[in-house]
Amino acid sequence: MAFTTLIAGDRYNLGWNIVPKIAKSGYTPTVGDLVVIDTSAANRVDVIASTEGPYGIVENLNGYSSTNLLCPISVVELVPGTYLELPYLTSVTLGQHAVFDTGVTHGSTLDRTKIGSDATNGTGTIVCKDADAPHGTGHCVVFFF
Amino acid sequence: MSLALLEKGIDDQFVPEVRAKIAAEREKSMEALTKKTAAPESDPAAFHRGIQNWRSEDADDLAVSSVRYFGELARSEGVYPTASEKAFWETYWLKKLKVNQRFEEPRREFRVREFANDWWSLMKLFEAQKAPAWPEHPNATVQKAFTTNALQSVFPLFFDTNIVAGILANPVLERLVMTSIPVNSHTATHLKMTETDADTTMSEGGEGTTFVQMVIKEAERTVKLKKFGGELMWTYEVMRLQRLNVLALSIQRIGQRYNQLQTDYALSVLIDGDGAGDGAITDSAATTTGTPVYGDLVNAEFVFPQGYEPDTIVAPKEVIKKLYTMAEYKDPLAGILHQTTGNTVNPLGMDLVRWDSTGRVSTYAATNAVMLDSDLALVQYTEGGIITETERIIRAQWERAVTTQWVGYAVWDRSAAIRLTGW
Repeated sequence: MAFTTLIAGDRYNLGWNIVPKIAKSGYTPTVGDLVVIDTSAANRVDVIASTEGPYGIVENLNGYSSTNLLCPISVVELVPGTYLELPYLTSVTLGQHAVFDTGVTHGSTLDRTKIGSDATNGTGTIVCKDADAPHGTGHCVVFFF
Repeated sequence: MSLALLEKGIDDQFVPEVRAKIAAEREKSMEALTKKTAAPESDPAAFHRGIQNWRSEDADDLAVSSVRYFGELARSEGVYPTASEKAFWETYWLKKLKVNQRFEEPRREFRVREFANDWWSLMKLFEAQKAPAWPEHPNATVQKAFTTNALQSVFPLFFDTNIVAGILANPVLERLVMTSIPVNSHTATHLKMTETDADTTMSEGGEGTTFVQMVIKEAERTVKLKKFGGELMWTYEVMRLQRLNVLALSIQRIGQRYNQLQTDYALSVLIDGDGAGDGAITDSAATTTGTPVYGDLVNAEFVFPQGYEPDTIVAPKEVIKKLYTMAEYKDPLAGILHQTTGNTVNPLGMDLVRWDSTGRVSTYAATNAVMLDSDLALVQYTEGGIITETERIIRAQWERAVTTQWVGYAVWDRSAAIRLTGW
């Protein structure tokens, strides 16, 4: 049969893996940012950079603003067993890890940080991309384990 | 005393009393329905489990959809719309879902009328529990409905009902399917018509002679159903702020998307077969690929054997554009008037139904169309209807609803559809 449906997509809210965090000083969070744990102060997160892979994704800014920088933001922890769809920057390879790519830019269709892929650095495993991802070409789904 | 005065006197004397009695009866009926649907604290899921376990005694132990179940339950308890309410809400839904707007749709009209009455029963229960959800009226918040004991257990039905409304909003699927058959298994034993002219043609006889024997032949095949579903999550905060009618519209949108998925599935079965041995559709190619002409359309019509009456062309926008601009159809003097009225042409008397290629069906591209006899082409099988279950994740204050359905399609008569190629 020539009928194909998608089976991959977001499966990241397990009901207990969204936690409050505080944006690191100098980092202005946006919903959809991929973040890593930052140890400059307690409970801080920072946007991914260099060869980092995501620890979580910003779900809600709550009351965060330039005059309320210490307001907790809601971060989805990409714990084992979660799937997350992400846009990619240039190309990604199935089986490789999700990793920071040049610059922190969000996808125009799916408003989340664009990633790249790497065999060594990063987190998770890219399990499908393009036509097999809900948002189509330029997107992939990452399984975190 | 004139007859009119006498009638008025009788009305004045008896009608208020009768009305009061009817109102009291209706109130009692609603109370009875509320009791049936209320979730006991000891077993909050009892009502919903009852729906899933319920089987129609009249129809060979078949599971039915939860929306239909609730409509029947309400009616059996005496909660049903008056004639004027019935007429009003049926008309409302027929117009809202644009039934019969472009072409006659007896199947969709039947289903929408049935749906309107089931929906009314649910809305009436919400109203009785002081959580009104009628369209174009002030609505209760989702939270109010979700935390009222009598509504908690029927809230999944609110999802189901609006998913069904979304499914009914699109005419294409209803047009492809000749009938929908509920089954109680995930494989349907499908009977395909296989008789030929020789099997069913009478012959000449004479006085005292015997006559030829005719046979209605059927081939039995097994069609596998597919399971579709989705999980919807929203926070307590969203629930507190959102009104029921806004949530209803959001769910209807999900229903519409689901309908699109099902339509593609049905179309793929019509073209490629159901995988149980019915074979692929017959093609009718344009003489010059990419430049179809009127003659190609006529050729396609006569691919159908005698006795078939193709009444529908399902085509993507690219093919429809070519049809609109054919010399035979673009002349306003010929009475088409798409130019000024937007009326759609009816090529060869058939209803032209737009269905764009979404990429989900590789054999239905922008250069294809399907011509079919909608009374013979395709059968839909469902098992158990749409099922929604909800749960509360107290730990992080989320609500979760999971909606699923088993559905399958099978070719009824392979000769009742052809595919146009090279358009």
